[in-house]
Amino acid sequence: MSDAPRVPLSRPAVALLAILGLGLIVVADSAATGLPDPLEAPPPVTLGSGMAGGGAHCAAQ
Amino acid sequence: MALRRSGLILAGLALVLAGFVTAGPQAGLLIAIGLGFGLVLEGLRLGFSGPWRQIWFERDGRGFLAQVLAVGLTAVVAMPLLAAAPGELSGAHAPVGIAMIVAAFVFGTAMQLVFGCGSGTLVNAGSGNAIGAVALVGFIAGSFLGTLHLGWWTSLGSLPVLTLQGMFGDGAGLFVTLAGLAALAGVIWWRAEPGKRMPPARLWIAAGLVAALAVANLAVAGQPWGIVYGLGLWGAKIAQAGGADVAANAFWSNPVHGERLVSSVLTDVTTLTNIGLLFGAFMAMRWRRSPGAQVARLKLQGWVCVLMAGLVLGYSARVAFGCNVGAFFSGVSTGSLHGWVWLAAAFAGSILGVKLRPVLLPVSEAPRAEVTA
Repeated sequence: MSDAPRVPLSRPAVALLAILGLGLIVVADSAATGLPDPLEAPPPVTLGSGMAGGGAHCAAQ
Repeated sequence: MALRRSGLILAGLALVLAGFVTAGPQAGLLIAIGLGFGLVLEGLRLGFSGPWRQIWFERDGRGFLAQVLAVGLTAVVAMPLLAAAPGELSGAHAPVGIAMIVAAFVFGTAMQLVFGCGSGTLVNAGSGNAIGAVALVGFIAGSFLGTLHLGWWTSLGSLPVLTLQGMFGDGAGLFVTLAGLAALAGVIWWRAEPGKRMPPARLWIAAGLVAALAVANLAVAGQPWGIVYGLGLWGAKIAQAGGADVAANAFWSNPVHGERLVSSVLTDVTTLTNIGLLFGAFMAMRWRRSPGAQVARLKLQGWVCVLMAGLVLGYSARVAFGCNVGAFFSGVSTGSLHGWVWLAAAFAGSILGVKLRPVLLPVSEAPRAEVTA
C-alpha cells in the first residue's frame, strides 16, 4: 500500500487543528451556558476541604 | 529554538491562568495537572496500547512494567487517602457485568486499530498525529452514544460494585492490590525476553511522575484521573447544540450528569485535565528540535476505519466504565474489582486488534503513534 497518499498536513498543523476544535467546543459551550461563577468555584483542593468532590467519573453509572 | 520554547512555556502558563481566572483555582490546578500528564506521556513516551502489543508480540515487557509500577505507586498513596477521607474523595469504582466485560474486550481491539487508548488518543491528537485526531472525533461521538444506551447494557446483568477494601478491609485491600500487581509484574517478567525486561530510566521517571500526578488529581478533584467522561460530555454538548433533547435520556437525567449538562464544561474536572493533557502533548511535540514526520499513510478505507474504530472505542469505553486510565489505572489503584476484570478483557481484545490491523488498516509503515500510545 505504499501508493497511499501521505497526510498533507504536518504534525504541528494537525495538532493546532485539534486544539482549535477543542477551543471551539469550549467557546460555543461558554456562549450557551455562560462562564462559571468564580464566587461559586469549588475549593482549590478537595482533600481537607470538608466537601465532597463535585465531578463525575468515567466509572459513573 | 529558545524563543519557541519560551513561547510554549508562556502558552502553558497562560492556559493555567485562564482556567484559574474563569473557573477558579481548582480549575487552574487541574489544567496544570493535565498539562503534566501530557508532557510526561508524550515527552517520556509512556503509553498503554504499545506496551500491550509489545509484551505479547515482541516479548518486550518494559513499557507494561512501567504501567504496573505507576499503578502500584498510585495505589500506595491513593487507597490510604480514600480510607482517611471517604467524605471528600471517591474511587473509580464500578460494577463487573456482562456488557462491561464484552465492552472492555471490544475497547482493547479498537485501541490497537487507532494506536492509542483514551489518553493515547488525546496525546496523539495533541502531538499532531492524524490518526489520533481522526480517532478523537469518533471517540467523542462514541462515548456520548454510549451514555444513551448505558442503562440497557448494564441491565443485561452485573454484580454490585465490589472493591478490595470492601471485601478484605482497607489495609488488606491495599495489600491484595499490591500483591496482584506484583504477580502481574512477575508474569510480564516471565513473558519478556532477557534484555527486554528492565524498563529504562526514562520509563521509571515517567511512572513516578504519572503516579504523582494521579495522586494530585485525586486530592484536587476528589476523584481519580479519568478521560472518557469528559469526552462524552463534549459529545452531549455538541448534540444539545444541534437540537437534541439530551437531558431526556436516563443517563443525563441523573442529577449529577444533568448538572454537568447545564453547566460550563469548565466546571467538569475530567474536561479540565483533558484540555491540559491535549495541550501538554502539543508542548512536548513542539519542544523537540523537529516535530517529526506525519507518517500515517492510509487509503480512504483506512481513514474510515480509524474513524469507526474511534467511535467504537468511545462507545465501548463508556459501557465498560472507563478506558485504560479510568478503568485500569484508576480502578485498580483505588481498589475496584472491575479494574482487574477490565484489564484481562481489554488485554485479550488487544491481541485481536493487533491481528486485525493488516486487514483493516493497510499501511506502508507503522505510524509513530504506536511508539507513544
